[in-house]
Amino acid sequence: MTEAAAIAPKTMFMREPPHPAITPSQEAAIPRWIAEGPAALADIRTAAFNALKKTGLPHTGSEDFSFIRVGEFLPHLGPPAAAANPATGAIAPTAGRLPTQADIQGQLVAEARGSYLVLVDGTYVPELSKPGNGFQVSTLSRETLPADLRASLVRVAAEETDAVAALGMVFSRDPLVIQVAAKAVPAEPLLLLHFHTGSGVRSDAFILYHGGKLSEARVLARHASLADSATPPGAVATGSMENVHTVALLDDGASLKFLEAGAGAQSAGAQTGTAGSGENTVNRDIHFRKLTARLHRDSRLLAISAHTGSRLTRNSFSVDLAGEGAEAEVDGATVLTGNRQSHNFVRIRHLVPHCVSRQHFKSVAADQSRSSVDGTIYVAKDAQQTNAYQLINNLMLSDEARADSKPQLMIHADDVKCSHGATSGKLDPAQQFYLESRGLPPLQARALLTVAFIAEVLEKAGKSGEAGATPGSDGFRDILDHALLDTLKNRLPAASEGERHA
Amino acid sequence: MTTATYMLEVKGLEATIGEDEGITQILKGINLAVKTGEVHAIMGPNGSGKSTLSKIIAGHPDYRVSKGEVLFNGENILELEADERARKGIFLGFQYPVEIPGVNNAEFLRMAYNQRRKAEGKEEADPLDFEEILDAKMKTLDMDGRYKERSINEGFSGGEKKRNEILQMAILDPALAILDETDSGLDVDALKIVAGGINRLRGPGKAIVLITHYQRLLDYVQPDVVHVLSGGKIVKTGGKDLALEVEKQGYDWLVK
Repeated sequence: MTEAAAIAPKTMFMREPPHPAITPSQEAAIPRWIAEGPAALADIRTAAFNALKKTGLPHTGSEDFSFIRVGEFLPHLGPPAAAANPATGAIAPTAGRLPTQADIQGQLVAEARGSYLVLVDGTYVPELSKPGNGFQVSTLSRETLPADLRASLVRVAAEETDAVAALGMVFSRDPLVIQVAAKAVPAEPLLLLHFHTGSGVRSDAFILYHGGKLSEARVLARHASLADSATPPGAVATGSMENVHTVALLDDGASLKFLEAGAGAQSAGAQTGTAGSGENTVNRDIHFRKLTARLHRDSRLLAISAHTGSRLTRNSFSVDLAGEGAEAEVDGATVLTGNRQSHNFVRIRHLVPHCVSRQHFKSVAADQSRSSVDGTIYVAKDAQQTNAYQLINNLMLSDEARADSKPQLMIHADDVKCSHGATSGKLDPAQQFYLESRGLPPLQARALLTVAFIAEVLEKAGKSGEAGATPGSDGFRDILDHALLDTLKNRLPAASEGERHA
Repeated sequence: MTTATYMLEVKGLEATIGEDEGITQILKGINLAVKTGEVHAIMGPNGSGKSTLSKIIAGHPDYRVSKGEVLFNGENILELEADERARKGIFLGFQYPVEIPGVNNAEFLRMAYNQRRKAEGKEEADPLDFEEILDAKMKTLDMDGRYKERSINEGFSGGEKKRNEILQMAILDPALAILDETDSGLDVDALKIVAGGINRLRGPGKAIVLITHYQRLLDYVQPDVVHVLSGGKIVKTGGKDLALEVEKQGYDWLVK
């Protein structure tokens, strides 16, 4: 039996037309890629490859992809072009160009002006980066991780059940390693700037974050495309696939806030002709993002993802509460227009007693957009006194939009407090009448209510202008606001600011 | 006599809610005429149509007017949307003000204020100017600064919500205020403050319609005319003594 046959699931393409998945020749490329790549990565790549073989590629019947047309992204799952030449070293983007200083400056946020890392097509570029105090930044081939940390990472790779995330771990050229030492509390957050160079590119990023005992840090992530400028005039850019897998290992008492603004966050750069996330580029792209987190005793995680979707966006969160007293909150805010899609997939596992988890996903779906949230809270037999909740709220602005919610509880312990719920609805007519009865035109009332709906999640990311933002420059919260609210304003012209310009 | 001396005229108003088999007639021929400067009180038992009348005047989309007219300063307003009526100077104080999480109270008030200013052809207020206006009005209603920070009515007590309605009324300075049971759920101290707010609006060029279940509010806001509404019709109209009569005897003697 060839390796390819081992990977291909038996039920593949039952209801979908066939797609070129991993062919035998591509399949043979993976062991070669591992063998010829840095020895320091071989164990993790091999573990991920074995996990991939076990899981198989996603197919139409895959429960984990039940709201997604697998055919949309399957053709992108082969080895990236880079796999043909496994030599790592100087970074040459697979297409297009490296970001310029202007591109980078255009993406910075007020609270992290002096603390950012640049990744190009998933690979860390130290020459363009400037990690802030308190963050030790390296790559897996260069960094000698402590044995237990390395073992944890190999374990994450070996236990991966998401084929796309596993592929990311196999093909990431040299995973980025971010460490915060025990008791360290970096003053500035660390901003991860993901630049994508262009059309038709598949990029795989694999990032390890290790929070030492009692450390406290914030990590922010933004995505920008260089594709528009890389595409010659007249040429049609085809969509790229961006695959980012972040693994966060939090030691006892460590705290991490991980905030991500998805593509669609309109940057100042986009207006000045430098890097941006121009509407045309983003809309064709496929985004896979996964956060895997393992929380030890009393550690805390807040993860918020805010984005406006794309041709296909899938955010996955896999959080293990593995130490008593650990607390995790995973939130999502999505505004979808046109035919954009956004799918969230959440697995929170309470493995030990006395942990708390919260999930709140809010989506606004307009036009023919599609959104889904598939979230499960799993409570192990011994995880007594678990406190977990999950809430999914969908606001439907159009009869043609679709939102699927699948909140699930799997509880094996008998002394827990778990709740979940999902709502899908239109704007509340009573609220709308209230605003209109005060003289607000219907469109303004609708915009105000829609913004308010999504703002509830954004509030958790902190207030604008926090952390001594430089006047006139945008903080991360502003970026989130712009990303989502500007989309709404375009959709509903007389939005909350309407009266100022009227 | 010209109709213009009346700020509000309701003529033979019949209205229904629901559709097809679920249709219910709530108003069965209401006649009401409120002159500029007057305060009218409308009393009546539960389910008599008081709230429906107020919502129809404000332009609530759920009700269908099957007959009759509503004239505001001589203009039939039934074809106007709720926001258009509001900008013309009609204000409805809600019996149950809704909570709107995520919409800041002060910002909302400024938007509403500026919409009204714009409709009157006046300059809009910038945030700083508006804050001064708001602070002054809040002071008269004994409201603290936290109201500005909070979302509209979110987590407000019943009394706080009603006070917020009066604050909105004070800011928007409407020509016609219809207050739907603004007094219910208030303790005496809050009632006095709310009544003070209503009395400050009172005056030439203004008209107020108080809808109330109890006579108590009328101790603090003296009505010029009192109506009793029952079964979708006004069954009795009188002076403020009528309210005292109702308080003493209930509605039964009027209904049957």
